[in-house]
Amino acid sequence: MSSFHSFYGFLDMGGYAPFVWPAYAVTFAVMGLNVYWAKRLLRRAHQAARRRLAVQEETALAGAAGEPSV
Amino acid sequence: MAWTWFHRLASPPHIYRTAGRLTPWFAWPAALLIVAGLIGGLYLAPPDYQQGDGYRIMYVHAPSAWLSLMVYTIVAVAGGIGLIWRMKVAHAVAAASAPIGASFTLATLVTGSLWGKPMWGTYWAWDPRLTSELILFFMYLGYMGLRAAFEDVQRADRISAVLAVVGLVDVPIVHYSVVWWNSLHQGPSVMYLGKPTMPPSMLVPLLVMFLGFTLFFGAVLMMRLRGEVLLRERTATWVREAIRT
Amino acid sequence: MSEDPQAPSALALARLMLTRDLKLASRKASQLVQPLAFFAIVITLFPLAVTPELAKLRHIAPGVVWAAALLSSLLALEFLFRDDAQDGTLEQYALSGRSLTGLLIAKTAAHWLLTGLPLALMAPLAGAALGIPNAALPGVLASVTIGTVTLSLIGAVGAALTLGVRRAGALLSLLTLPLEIPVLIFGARAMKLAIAARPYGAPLTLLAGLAVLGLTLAPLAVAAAVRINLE
Repeated sequence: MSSFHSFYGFLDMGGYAPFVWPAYAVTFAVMGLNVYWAKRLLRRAHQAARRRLAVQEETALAGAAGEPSV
Repeated sequence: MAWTWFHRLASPPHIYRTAGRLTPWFAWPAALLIVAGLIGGLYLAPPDYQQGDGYRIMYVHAPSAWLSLMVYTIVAVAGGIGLIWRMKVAHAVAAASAPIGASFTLATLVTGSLWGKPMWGTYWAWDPRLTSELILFFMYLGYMGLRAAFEDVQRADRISAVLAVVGLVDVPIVHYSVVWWNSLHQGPSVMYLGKPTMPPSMLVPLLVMFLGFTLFFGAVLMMRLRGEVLLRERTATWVREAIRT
Repeated sequence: MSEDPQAPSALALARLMLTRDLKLASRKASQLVQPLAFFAIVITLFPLAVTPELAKLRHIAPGVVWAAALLSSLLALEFLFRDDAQDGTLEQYALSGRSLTGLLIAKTAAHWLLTGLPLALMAPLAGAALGIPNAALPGVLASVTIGTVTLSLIGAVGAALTLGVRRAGALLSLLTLPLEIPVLIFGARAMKLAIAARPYGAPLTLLAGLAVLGLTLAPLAVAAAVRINLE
């Protein structure tokens, strides 16, 4: 089924190995980075929302206790 | 009413939950298809009679190029929808998509130049496709730069949407002017796509890769979209429930 | 909105705007001269950097003239909306109830008269200095005259987008130059054909087409961007 006779032949890519493998490496690095950046964005958005909610709750509590809210 | 589903669909909490639920439905098929495309393209497909095994770069180059164009269109259309109907979620889609598109434009340029070296004997030729891809990359950089220049998210959303729409009108003009310019200078063009003689053993892995990359974009978009929606809705009460769970 | 019989018509308003901008610019001559001086300096760099031989310079002249024109039109954009935005005039225009698009078209037209047209008039001079034969100079003039219309329009979009951005210079070039590439390609082609004494009507027509397209679409984008930035 395969177009390569040996594993070495597969790695060699008919002499095009120095071009084929870096191209695949770059593409999959870009894909990996995309997943990492997306996860980081979501994590940071969560952190920012949590911080903001904490501040809101503090000021709400302070207001309820009759202290001047800042 | 016909409009209730529309508002429900566009409401940030609904989008936040749906995007979270949809992520695996994009991610797993994408992973399966890309692995299948890899096996088919790198291992099973026969070598090309002219380009030998060098043409196998096509299986990552062409789907990246497709994403670079598709995502720019999505950015502009989503931005336009956000401008006209003042939909925050549409702007969030545009903001979430642009960095993904820019990264795949860069991947297209790098894989294209790696393909060019064995075929043209040089890493960079002023080939019309690579040249318009480079200009598209500059347009992505301009779009993201304009976004970053504004502190206020709402303003950044609306201003960058105007740029994206203008860019969408200009992209075909740039592309055809570059093709026209190239035809005058008889530049080299050794791209594989559009060749009518591609046998199914070569074509099927390519189509599988196209679908896999598109679904991969969908998965990353869903993840980023949740973040972008949260950034635009920090004071809403639903956020309290969304981040506690 | 009730029609005030005393109010000037849209055309008269545009003319008022045009004369106002021209008058204002005549009081600040340095703003006019600087982009032209920049254009001349960029042109001067090439004989010094490449070769003083006119026969060789002639080959690169279309590219040099057009690249210099793109860069100096970029330089002139800073003055397009900045002063009016800073002193609140632009906001008054937006609130005046008159068509903001119409007012901004007039403003862009004034900008072209003040920066594009002088550049086009100077281009044959630059071309002659780069070894372009005299017979080709009308072609140089025509291509730069038509091309700068589109440059002013795209530039106005870029200037309107970056209205609220401080020190927008680099960003402005990143936004506008990719959009201006078709102008560069068709403009340089027309000039190249003129130098070779061949008919250059086709690229000139394409340039004119770009100008018409820009004239119909760019003012809408400019008005939208100005409105968003004034909010």
